[in-house]
Amino acid sequence: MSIQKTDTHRIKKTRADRTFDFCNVLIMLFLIIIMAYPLYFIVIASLSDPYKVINGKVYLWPVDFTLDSYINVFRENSIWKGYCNTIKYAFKEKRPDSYPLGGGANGDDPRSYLLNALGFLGTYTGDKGYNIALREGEIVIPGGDPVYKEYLTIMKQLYDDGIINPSLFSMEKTAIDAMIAEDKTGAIPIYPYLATPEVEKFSQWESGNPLTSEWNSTPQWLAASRLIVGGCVVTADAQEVETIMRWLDFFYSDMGGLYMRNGPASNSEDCMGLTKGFAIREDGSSVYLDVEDKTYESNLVRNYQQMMGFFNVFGNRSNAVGEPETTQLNIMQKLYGAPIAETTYDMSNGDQNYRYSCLQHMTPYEVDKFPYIIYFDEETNTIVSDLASVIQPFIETETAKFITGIRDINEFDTYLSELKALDFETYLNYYRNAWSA
Amino acid sequence: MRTSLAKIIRNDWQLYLLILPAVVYVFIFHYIPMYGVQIAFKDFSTRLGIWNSPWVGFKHFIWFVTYPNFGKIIWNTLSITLYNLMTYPIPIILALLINELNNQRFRKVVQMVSYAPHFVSTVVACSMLILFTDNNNGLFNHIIRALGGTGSDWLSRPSLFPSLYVWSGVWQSAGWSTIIFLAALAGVSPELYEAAYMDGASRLQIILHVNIPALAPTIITMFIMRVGQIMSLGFEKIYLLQNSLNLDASQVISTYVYEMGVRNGQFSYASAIDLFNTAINILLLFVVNKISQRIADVSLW
Repeated sequence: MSIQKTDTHRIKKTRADRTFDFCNVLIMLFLIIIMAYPLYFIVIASLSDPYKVINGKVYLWPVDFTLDSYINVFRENSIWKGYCNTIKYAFKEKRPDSYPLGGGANGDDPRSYLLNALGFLGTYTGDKGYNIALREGEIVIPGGDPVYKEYLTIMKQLYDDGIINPSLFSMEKTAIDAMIAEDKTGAIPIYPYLATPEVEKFSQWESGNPLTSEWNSTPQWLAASRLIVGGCVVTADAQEVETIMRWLDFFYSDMGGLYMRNGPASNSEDCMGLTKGFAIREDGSSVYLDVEDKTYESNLVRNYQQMMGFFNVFGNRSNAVGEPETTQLNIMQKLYGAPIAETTYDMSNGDQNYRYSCLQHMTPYEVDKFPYIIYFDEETNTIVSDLASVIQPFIETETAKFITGIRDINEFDTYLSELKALDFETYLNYYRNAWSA
Repeated sequence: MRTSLAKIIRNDWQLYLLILPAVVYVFIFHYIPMYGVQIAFKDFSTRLGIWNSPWVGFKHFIWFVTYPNFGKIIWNTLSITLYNLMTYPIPIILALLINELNNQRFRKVVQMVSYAPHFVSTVVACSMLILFTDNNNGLFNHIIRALGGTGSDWLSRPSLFPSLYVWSGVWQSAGWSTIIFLAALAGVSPELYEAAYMDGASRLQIILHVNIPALAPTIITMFIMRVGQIMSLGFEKIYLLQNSLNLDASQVISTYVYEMGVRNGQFSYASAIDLFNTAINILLLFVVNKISQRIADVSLW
């Protein structure tokens, strides 16, 4: 506290005093604005339309007032993103403020199908160039392959021409969704309804065939891996090992997996009079019943079409186009004893139209042979992860630098030799040996 | 004359009772788990448990020091924490200035507003930072463009990363840190002020010769404690602000430990790195404490 001033002995302030106080108050006012504005921003941002927030239109007051953020709007993005590794490639006419090939590292980006066109099998959305891929049957890491230079050149061209968003490497998922909602991007990586609720916009979209290029003339796309329902470890101390293995064999099969997810059909003996299982209504949708005949909508109704190919439309294992009997819903219909309904697609719904189009275009080119899971023993694993923690960020950063132009593309050979100096060959050989073993 | 332990406790038993819960808490949650530190010297495997895992001595430490990126991550960690340490005077100056405000109501408003950012969680603060520094839509770039410059993506530039990290940290913590300094300043007796005023000191001189010496013990103590955290850079904020382009500047020890310890399951290795960090921190703490004891007669113990 500064000096007390009483009324009777009023001490006159000097000019220096007054200037000091004035400056002090100015500083404090500036401080208040700096500290308070971001907090105020949080409040108004929570009351605005999220897409407007991402696009930077919210400054001083809420724009498009909405209370949706407070009501939990639940979307299953996070679950499906892991499985839906597709890129839909539809060129749009370039609008000055849009990015036809979009661009965000976590969602909408052209990297995987470009890499695929160059002959790397196994790349997926958001691939940064350091994951293993197959090229002509051999394991390679795209980031260390000479053909990678062509890929970088193409990407740099697209970047310079403004067809890819300049913030490709620093955008996050919500920003990408916002761009899709505003029609600022032409390619989306996942099913339409997951990116934006306005699926009617996509009813004219078509999927494309896998791309080819002068470095790879066969169109090919990676088939989806099987649905992984979990893992199981059986130790040497287990008793009744054979019974355990039989159970596991059952539950990891198609039928067994279905049982694990849905339970038995409610009119089957498997219920054993306990609680009922699932039932199929006339329109083909499934419901769950419980002991007192209460019914619960199954989310299979909404999901069954995604589950056609156990999640990956491009790599459609169950071949919904060819053999309908093996889709999940059809198996359930068989178990329940209902007539097997044809899987129909409502073409006017943008989401389903697109899915059907994906099935038609990609299924003929599927390739199955891919090392989804590679096992190392403990010793090797330490070495490999150590190498990976150096090599992966290196590839990631250098790729970003080449594409954005920070580093000249002609230095590609220097980059390759730097990579070699980081023990790249040893790293790659670990993977090769593990797969062929 | 030496009094026996029982007598000491009996004399002030209320005080000891007061401190008992805290001591018990520290003992149970901080001292007892220390036995787990030994996994830094073992090859820990969940199958064998802590006691049965084999001893490997300093293998993990040597592995860490010979890691190819060791220099880079240590350099990144140190540069960010030293930069952070250099912003240490800011809460002090702020406290001094707030102390000089005459209008009590305004002063309370300033204090309240400056405490508020402390309560914003790291995740929210980082999201805001990402939003504000975006090239096309961010507030900062809008301001730069309005002033005639060209905007750029701030988070993609490794050279800007330490600054972004440190200054957003200052925004969050400056107000809260003034609390302890303001408390110390409140204890200065008004007679000192009046005496200085009578001797003709200007405001600035009063601050320099009355306020700051009053704060000196607090300043030094807090500084010693800050130095003891030099090698421990928090993980959350760095991880949230990392992206492909700024990895050169944003790979620090804690993100490496996360990758090795959590993603790759190498618990022994991660423990070894943490032990390494802690050892350096403790060493620094002792050194700085000793120095401050010699120079300023203020020390933690």
